[in-house]
Amino acid sequence: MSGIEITTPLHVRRRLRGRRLFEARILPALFLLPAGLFVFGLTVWPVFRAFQLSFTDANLAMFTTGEFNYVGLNQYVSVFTSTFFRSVILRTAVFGIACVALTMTVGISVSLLLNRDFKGRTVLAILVILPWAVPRVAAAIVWQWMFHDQFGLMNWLLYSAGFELFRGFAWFNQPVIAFTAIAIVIVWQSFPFIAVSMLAGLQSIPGEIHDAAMIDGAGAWQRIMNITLPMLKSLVLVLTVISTIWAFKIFDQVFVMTAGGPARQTELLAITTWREAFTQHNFGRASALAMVMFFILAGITAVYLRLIREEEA
Amino acid sequence: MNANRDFIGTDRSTAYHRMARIASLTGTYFAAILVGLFAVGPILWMISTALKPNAEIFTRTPVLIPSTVVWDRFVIVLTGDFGRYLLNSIIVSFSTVALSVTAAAMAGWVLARYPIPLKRYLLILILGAQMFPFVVLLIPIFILVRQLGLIGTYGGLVLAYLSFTTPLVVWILRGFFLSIPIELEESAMVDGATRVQAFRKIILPMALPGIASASVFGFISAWNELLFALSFNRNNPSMHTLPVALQQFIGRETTDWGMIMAASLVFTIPVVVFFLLTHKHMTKGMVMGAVKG
Amino acid sequence: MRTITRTIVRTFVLLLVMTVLMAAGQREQVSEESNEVTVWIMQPGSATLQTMLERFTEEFEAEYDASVNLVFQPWGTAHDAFTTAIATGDVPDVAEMGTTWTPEFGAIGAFAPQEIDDLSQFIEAVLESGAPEGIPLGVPWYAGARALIYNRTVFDELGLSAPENWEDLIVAGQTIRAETDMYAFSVVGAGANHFVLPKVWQAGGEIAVQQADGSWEATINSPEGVAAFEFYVSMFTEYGFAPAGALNWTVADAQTAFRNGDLAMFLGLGPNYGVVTRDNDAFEVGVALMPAGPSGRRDTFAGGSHLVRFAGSRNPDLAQAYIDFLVQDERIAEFASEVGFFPGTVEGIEAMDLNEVQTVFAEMLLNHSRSYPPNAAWGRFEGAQLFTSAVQRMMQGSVDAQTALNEVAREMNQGFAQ
Repeated sequence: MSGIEITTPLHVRRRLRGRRLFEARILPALFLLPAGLFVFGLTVWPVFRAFQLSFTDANLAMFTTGEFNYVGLNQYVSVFTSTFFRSVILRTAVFGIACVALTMTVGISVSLLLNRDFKGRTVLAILVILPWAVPRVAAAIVWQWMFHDQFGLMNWLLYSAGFELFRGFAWFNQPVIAFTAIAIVIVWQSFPFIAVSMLAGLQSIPGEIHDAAMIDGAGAWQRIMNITLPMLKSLVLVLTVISTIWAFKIFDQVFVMTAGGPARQTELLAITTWREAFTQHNFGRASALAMVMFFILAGITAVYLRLIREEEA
Repeated sequence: MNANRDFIGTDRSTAYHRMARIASLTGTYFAAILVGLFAVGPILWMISTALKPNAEIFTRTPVLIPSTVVWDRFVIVLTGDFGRYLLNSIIVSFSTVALSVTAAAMAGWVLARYPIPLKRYLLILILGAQMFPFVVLLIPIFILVRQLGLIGTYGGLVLAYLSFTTPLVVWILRGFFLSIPIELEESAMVDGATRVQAFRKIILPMALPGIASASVFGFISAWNELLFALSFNRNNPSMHTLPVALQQFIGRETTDWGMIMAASLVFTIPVVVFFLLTHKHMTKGMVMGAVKG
Repeated sequence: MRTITRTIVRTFVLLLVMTVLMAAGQREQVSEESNEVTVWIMQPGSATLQTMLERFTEEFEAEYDASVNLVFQPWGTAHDAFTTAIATGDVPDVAEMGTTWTPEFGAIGAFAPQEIDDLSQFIEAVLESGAPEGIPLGVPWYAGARALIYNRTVFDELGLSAPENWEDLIVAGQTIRAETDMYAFSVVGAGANHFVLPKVWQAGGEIAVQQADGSWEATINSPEGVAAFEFYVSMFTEYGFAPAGALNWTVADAQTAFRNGDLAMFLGLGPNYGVVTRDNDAFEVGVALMPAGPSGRRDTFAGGSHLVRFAGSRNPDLAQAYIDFLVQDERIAEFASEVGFFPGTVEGIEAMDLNEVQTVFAEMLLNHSRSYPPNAAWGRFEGAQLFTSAVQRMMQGSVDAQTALNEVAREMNQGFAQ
């Protein structure tokens, strides 16, 4: 490149220098501008705004008359002193962790299955992706129909298999059972991503390593636990963190399947926040709840970023 | 390959070995069938319910395969109010994709090629922004969209959706640009092209698969979105998107499961088609983004 | 392969451009035309009604040379729709308002007060709910009260008559459970509000009482309140009158089960009666007064809706004209009788030519209907699922009535105090 400059006339060189300046300084700034505007205007600034609102008593009057007052930490105090809000936070965490554990187990198992050599493997690989593609609302709806107490496929399958209890069984009467049904939907939708990502990882492991382990007499289970998974440790960790973040954000499936019922016992943090804002009009407290969620997720994200950095190093 | 591997270094009898292999294969197929049923069963049930006559929907013993196929529901779905919601969803999702992919292609390329000050933090921010819970953004963006007078319009929703599609698409596209050798750009510039020309003529066409999958990804996120759509366009029923309409359909006077399934199917099919077209790039993009950073 | 990808991408880009152009052109035109009003009406369940309202509106447009933007809002999401509208300041000029919502939105000044000359013409319970401080904010449009709807064919076969009081209800229910494979009574959980709250009145109690200084105090946890909730829930837990899934039922589910012949009795309004009898050759349907509680009262909730004019209306005169137009006697009568409801005025009902079934519903409305405390907090109680949560937890067996209602009373008093 430097060769060109030496042999070019002065005015061309000057033009080239101007171009270089444009290309080195102005162009990147120009190209970053729209995306930067979107990211700052629509995510960074709103987070600050939510933070600000969480110290106010903003309600519907904020919109009609524009008035609201700063109430310090009152909203946070009311969140953490209320047994209801505390139990919502706790159940969001417990349910989230349970979903992640299930998703990872199912996802990794399916990836191991797909890594075996059998006829129809490619077909299965495509079928497994489908649940990921189904929109969350549609997925929740079809599963809700399958869990219908009177006409549901699940109850029919279960009582046909000899479990009389499931004749007319109401899946959404008790929170634990309702959460089980919701967890099945969540896992159904999130295991494909784990399975496909893990499969890519598995296929990157050279076959010789397995062969060597076979010679040493390691069984299939031992090979998976002692060789395969440790080799993919960082991938597994990253996937775990990603699915944890997803699990904490769950809204749609619960909103469609139970809307938080019965008796608000299946409300997760996202739903409670929404309800506090849009049916109770308590935008201040809703913002405080949202910030609680933000800090939890920020913590998990920090772990995620550290994992990625280690991976890069 | 597995078959060969099985015979390496064994001194056991071949008969025992064949037995073990048959057992293992049987196990594999059994597991494969189970997994396949779990994955596709609900989708098949959705199709079956959408197509069967009402009398076969509300039965204690489910009718798995419809005796006659009822197409009417799809006609109603596509011509009635749902046609309108479908159009809304299409307009909002495509506009979101158009804006975010355009912005992200430029930003992603700059982030892949230029030494930007504080780039590390910028990247962390973009990655972190994907983790933001929507609910945190909901109220402030609602206030913003209200100030712009865009509540109850396509613009308001598109703006809200840009908040989560842009970081995602930037991330995926940057990964793709990184995988394209910089020498290609340099050699084009040696041939007299400007940097923008090199980007437009050389890099963009090469990144097309990446752009396609990023678009699909952005499209799906916007197409699926419920929370914002639920809160922003409440006052204008004609502006509802499909997820909102479907969710409302459930709570109606009498729950018409046949219609709901037909509508869900119409809602699902475009996503599945797009997905199958580009899922390979997409998974690669995501895993690359996730692992390689 | 490459060319295929390229074709897909090209099509995609083309589509993108097209939709963006469409979206740009689609910006809703906000007309500054002076003779235009926007009206929100709750989505009626029937096409006939929708056409009738559209016809009224056309007549209005012709008479006033105006243009009316008529929007049908689904009931289920209407409350949130009003919230959004008020928050954005983009309110309709006129709206139909659920009676329990009028005080809630009225309290933040959303509505213009109505000038009504003769308040006595209206059914008291319906007017009262629209006039939280004694100033009417909504004009009663139509009204209705629930009655007991039962499967007469089954009752006749079993030699039963419609239950007169709570004990009869239990006896009839037990007979039905023993003699048939039907469920007996609609003990719904998720939609329990209007089913369980009136039982407090029937038991001789009050949900809340207004003090001399105008403030409200919850009395739902009184012995009568506890007895009412216990009675309601016992039909589910003790007597098994409803299937397990009823814990998450709303009246819509009860109505479907009744129509399918799976449920013998449910509490419903005129429109519910209409739905279960339309094209129904399978059995005969009877309607009876609400079974009386231990106090001898048959009180039920006076349902219905108000028409309100928003304070933010840009065209108040035309908006008011539209309200007055809709509540004219002949239109209200035509509309109400088609829905299975009644006009909001005593006179209006008396002017109607009532059949046997309508007589029962009218009797419930005129002589046995009441309104919930017309307090701004009430809408939030409903939004927070205060009462239904208590019922559902009792149905689960996870709490006893006294404990649950003490909590409810505490929450209510906090709400009233704000």
